[in-house]
Amino acid sequence: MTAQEQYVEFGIEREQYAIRIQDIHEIIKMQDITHIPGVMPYVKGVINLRGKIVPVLSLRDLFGMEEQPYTKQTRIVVVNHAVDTVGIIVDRVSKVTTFNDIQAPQGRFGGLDGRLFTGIGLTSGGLVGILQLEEVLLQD
Amino acid sequence: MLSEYKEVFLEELDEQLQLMDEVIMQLERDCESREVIQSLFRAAHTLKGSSAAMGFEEMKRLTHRMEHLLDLVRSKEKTVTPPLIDLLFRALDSLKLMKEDIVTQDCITVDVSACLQALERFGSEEAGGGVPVTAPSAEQDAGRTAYGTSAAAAAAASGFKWPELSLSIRLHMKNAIGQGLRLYWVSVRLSPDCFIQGARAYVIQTMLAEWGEVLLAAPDYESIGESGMETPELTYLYAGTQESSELAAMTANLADVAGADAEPVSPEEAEMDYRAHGDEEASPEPEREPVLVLVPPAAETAAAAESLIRQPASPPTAQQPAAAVKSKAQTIRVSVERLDDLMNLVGELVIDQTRIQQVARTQRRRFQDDSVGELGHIADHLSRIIGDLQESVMKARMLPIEQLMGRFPRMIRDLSRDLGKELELVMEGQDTELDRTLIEEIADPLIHLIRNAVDHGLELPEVRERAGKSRQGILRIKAAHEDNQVVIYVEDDGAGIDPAKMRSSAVGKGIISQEEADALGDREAIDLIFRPGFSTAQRVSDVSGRGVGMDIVASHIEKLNGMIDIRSELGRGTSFKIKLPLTLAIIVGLLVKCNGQTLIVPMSNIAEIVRVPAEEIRSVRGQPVVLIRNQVIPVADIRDRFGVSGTNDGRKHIPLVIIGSAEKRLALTVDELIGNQEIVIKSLGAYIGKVEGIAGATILGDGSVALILEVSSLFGKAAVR
Repeated sequence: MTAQEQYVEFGIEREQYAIRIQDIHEIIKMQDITHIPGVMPYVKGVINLRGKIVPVLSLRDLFGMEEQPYTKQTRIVVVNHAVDTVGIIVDRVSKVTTFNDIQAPQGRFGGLDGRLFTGIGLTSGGLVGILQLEEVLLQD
Repeated sequence: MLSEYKEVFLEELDEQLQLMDEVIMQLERDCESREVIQSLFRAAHTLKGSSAAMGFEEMKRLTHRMEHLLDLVRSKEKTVTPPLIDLLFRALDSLKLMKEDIVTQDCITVDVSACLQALERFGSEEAGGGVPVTAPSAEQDAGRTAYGTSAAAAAAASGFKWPELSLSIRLHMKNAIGQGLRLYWVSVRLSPDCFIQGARAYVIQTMLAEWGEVLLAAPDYESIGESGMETPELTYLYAGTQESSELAAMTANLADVAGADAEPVSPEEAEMDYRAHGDEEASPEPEREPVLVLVPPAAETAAAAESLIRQPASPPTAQQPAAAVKSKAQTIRVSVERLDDLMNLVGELVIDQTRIQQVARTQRRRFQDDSVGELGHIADHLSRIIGDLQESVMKARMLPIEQLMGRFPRMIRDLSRDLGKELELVMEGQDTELDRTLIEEIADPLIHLIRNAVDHGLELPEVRERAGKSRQGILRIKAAHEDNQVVIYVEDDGAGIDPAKMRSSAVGKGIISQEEADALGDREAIDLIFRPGFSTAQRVSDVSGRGVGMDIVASHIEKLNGMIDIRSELGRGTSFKIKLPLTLAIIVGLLVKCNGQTLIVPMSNIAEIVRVPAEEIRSVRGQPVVLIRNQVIPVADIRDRFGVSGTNDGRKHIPLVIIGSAEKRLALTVDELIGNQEIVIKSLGAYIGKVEGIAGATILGDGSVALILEVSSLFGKAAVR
C-alpha cells in the first residue's frame, strides 16, 4: 500500500474513517429505505439505486453506536463488495484525501477491533481509521 | 474444442433418441408402415455416423446392429413382431444409458454386450427368403466400404471431375458473370484428423459465402455429419472478386483444411451446358433468360433434385434428412443465458415504463399543457411497445410442452405393462407453450402424478370389469392456457380416493388425531394426500415410490409459484390440476398496504380476494378463521409476520387476500388493496441472502422498493399456531 493512495474520508459521531477510493462506487444522499423483516439489525433495508436493489447498512449500528435521526449531511457510501454492491450509511462525508503516514492498527482502535482496519492514517486533524471492508461487511 | 463438438453431438443424440422413442411406439401400433421403418432406420443410421465420428465405438456397434436389423425388416426379410419391438426398445434404452455415460463421464462404461448379442441373434435367426444373414458385422462393413470406394473409383475413371450443374445453378452462374464476378471451382481437402466433418464443412461454406457467393456445394455439409466421408474432399462452385491464387490461399488458411485449389470456370462452360439443358427441359429460347418465367417451380426443383442425386459423394440415404434440415434452417439455437440476459433487460424496461406512466399521471394532474398531454401519449405508446417486447422475449423462451409430454407415452406403456393394467392415453394441448425453465422443473412432479395415476388410480382390468367399467382405463393429460397461466391436468377414470380410508390411514400413521380426522370434510380428507409421510398404497411398489410422493410434488409446485388441486370421486376417478405461472421472471402481483409498507403477493398464489365484515372472522380454538363458501380458512395477519403491531381498529370491513400454496389456503388480512401490476422479481442480492418469508423485491412506479411475499413460507408460520 503506497502512502499516496487516495481515500474518501467520512465520519460518524466525532470519529473519522476512510475507505480506498477505488472501492467506492458512488456516494449518494439519504434515500427512502425499504425495511426487511428478519435480517441483521444493522441492515437497515434496501434502496433502489437506478434499478438495482442495494442493501444499506448503518455504520453506527455496525460499530455499536446509538442510532441518530438522519440529517441533511447523512450520506450513503456505496461500495463494491465482492459481486455485490452495498450501501453504508454515515453521518457525513468530509473529503477525498491522502495520508502521508499510515500506521498498522494496534489491537484496538477507538474501542473497536483492530481487524476492522487496514491501517490508521495520521493527519493534522487527528486519527482516521481506514476500513477493512471485508471485515466490516462480514460482521455477525 | 472437443467439448464444442460434444455439445453438438449430444444435441443430435437427444433429438434422435426422442425420435426413435416415438417411432418405435408408432411401429408397435402400425407394424406395416414402411415410412415408420424408414425413419427409424434413418435415425439409427444417423447415430451410427455421428457416434463413429465422435469415437464412441460401443454406440456405433449398437446402432449398426439396429440398422442392420431394420434393414432386414425394410426388405421384408423380417416382420415386425412384439419381441422385435421389445428388442428395439431395449436397444434404445441401452443407447440412453450410453448417453448418460457420455454426459457424466465422457466415455461409455455401460455394458451393452448382452443387448448386442440379442440384436445379433435376432438378426440371424429364422432369416426368411433363403438369404443367410449370418454375416457378422465386419463383413457387412467391409462390403459397404468396398462399395463406397469402387463407386468413387468408377466416377474417377469415367472422367468425372465436377458435379453436374442444374438448370437453376447455371442461371445463377450467368447472373454472377453478368455482375462481373469470377467463377471458380474451389476444392478443399479436409485434414484427416478433422472431427465432425459436417461441422467443419459448414464453417468453410459459411466463410466462402462471406467472401463471395457459394452457388453449389458438393457434398453439402448437411449430408456429411451422418457418416463422415471416405475422402474428405469438398467442392464448391464459387463466385467472387478474388484472384484464384488469393482465393486458394484464403481457403487453405482455414482450420482443419489440408489443402485447397481454386480453378476458374470459363463463362462458356456455363453457357454451353445451359443451352444443352435448355433444349431438353425448358424453353426453346435460351438467350434472354425467359426460363425463370416459363419453367414452373416444380420443374426447377426437380432439376435441382436430379443434380443432387448425381452428386457422387452424397450418400443416397442422406437426401431426405438433408431436405428436412433445410426446412428447419429458419431457426437458430440461442443459449439460454442470452435469453436470460435479454429478459433481465426487458425487466428493467418494464420498471422504467411503470415509472414513466406514474410521472405522466402526476404531471397531468398538476399541469394543463399540451406537452404534458404529449408526454402521456408517449408514455402510453412506450408501454405498449414494451409490452409487446416483453411478450416477444417471453415467447422466445417458451417451448411447447410437447417437449415433455413426448416422453410420456413410452413411460406409460412400460408402466402399464409392468403393472398389468390396460389403459388408453389421451394427451391434449401438447402445443401449449411455457417457459423452458418451467418445463424442466415440472417434469418430475408430472411424472410422479402419472405414475401414481397408473399405479394407484387405475384398477386392474378384471376389477374394472367387475365394477362395470371398460377393461381399458383412460389416462388423460391435458395442458392449456387459462388467463395468463398454464394449467395441466392429470386425470384418470380409476377407483378414486376414498375419504374414509384417507382418514383412517392418516390416524393410523399418526399424522392427525382421531378428533381432527372426524372434523375433516371429505375434501380436506382427500387433501391429506399432500401431507408428508402419507401413502395409501397397500404395498410399496417400485413404481410410485416409497410414500414420499405427493408432498414432494406439492412442495415442488409451490416452489414454482404454482398451485395444485385435487378432485376425486369414489369409483369415478381422480383429477389433479396444476396451475403454473407462464414465466418465472416477470409475474403479476397484487399490491397491498400493511402499516404503510407496500407488499406484493404473487397473483398466481391468490385464490380469491374478498372483503368481509369484521365479525365474520371468528376464532376456533384460538385460531382466527373465516368461512368462505363452506370452506373454513385460517386467517393470518401479515403484520404478525412482519413483527409490527397493529389491530383492525374497529374497521367494519376487512379486505382478505386468500392465498393458496399447493392445496393449502390461508386468508391474509391487509390494510388496503392497491391493485395488481406486472412486476419483475429481483433478488435481494447475495449480501442479504435468503430471507424467510420474502421471495424477492421489485421496484415500483414511484421508484421505491417493495418486497414480494413468499407465500409458501407463510403457511408454515400459520400452522404453528
